[in-house]
Amino acid sequence: MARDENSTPKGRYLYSVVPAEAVDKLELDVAGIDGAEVHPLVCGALAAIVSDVEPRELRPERRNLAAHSAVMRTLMDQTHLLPVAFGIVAGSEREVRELLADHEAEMVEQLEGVKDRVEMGIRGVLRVEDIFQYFVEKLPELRRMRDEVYAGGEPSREEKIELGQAFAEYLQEFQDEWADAAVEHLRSIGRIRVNEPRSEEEALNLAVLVPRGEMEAFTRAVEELAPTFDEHIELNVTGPWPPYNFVDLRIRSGEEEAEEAR
Amino acid sequence: MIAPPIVIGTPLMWIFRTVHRAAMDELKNERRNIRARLSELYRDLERGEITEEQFDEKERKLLDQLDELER
Repeated sequence: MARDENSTPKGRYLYSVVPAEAVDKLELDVAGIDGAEVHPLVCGALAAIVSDVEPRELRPERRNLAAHSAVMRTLMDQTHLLPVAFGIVAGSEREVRELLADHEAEMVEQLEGVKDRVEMGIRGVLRVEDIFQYFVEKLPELRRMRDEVYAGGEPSREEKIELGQAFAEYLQEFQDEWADAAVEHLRSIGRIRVNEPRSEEEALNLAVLVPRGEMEAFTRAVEELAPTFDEHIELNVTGPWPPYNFVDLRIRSGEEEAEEAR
Repeated sequence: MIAPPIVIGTPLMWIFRTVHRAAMDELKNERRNIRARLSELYRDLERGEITEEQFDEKERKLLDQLDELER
């Protein structure tokens, strides 16, 4: 998109923050939000990766999410970076620079923490037909409870809720155990972030910050880990990803700030 | 169930002064939540954890919810 005086939007969409020294070698041959050109804004030791947009709240639909993600992928092949959450629009270029200047020390430190490292995801999925049935067979206590509740025909609503709660608690215990085992096994590789499983089928959800030179060690460790789990748990490894789980830039928009100040 | 947005360590509190000034209301949190869920949904698609069809269906539902709130 041409950046001519009259038509250039004033807002800047923010994708990421990278070290200023990476800018000279960056190839930003990727379309940003609305197909706009993606460019760096350098300030001190940092550079923000931005594109011009009309200041507005961006709709989190696929087209926009994909553009955000594509820019991040292009960057991560070339430098270490701080990923910024989707949807952050600054009112002007000056605002972006002020933002970098105000937080230079913290951002430099966070960048240092992810330098030469990539995020790998590990997700364990329970491949069984019926999760409840699976736990009933695994746990005599749960089976006894189920049998009692169903002994006199259709159980009451309260009984069902109680049984459901017991199941949820057992599930949680197992998920905690699986996570602990994985962390124990992988802790020598790099920092680990344990995420809450997002469904009953999900046994495990971890992110590991792997030093680029340790990828083989990581792969080996996962291969050793897999057979220590229940045979019904399938381990899926994904990545490398930008360090979403190891950097947290919380950027608040003006309206939110105004709201909190009220 | 979808997890809340990821928060790690001590968050940097960045403050942006402008952007646009939309109406403020208590629905803000819910809107923020839906937006975060859409971001996660796309990440799941990228990671091959959900199919295109699953993405489309969930995206439509979440965007509908968002539109509903913005009305």
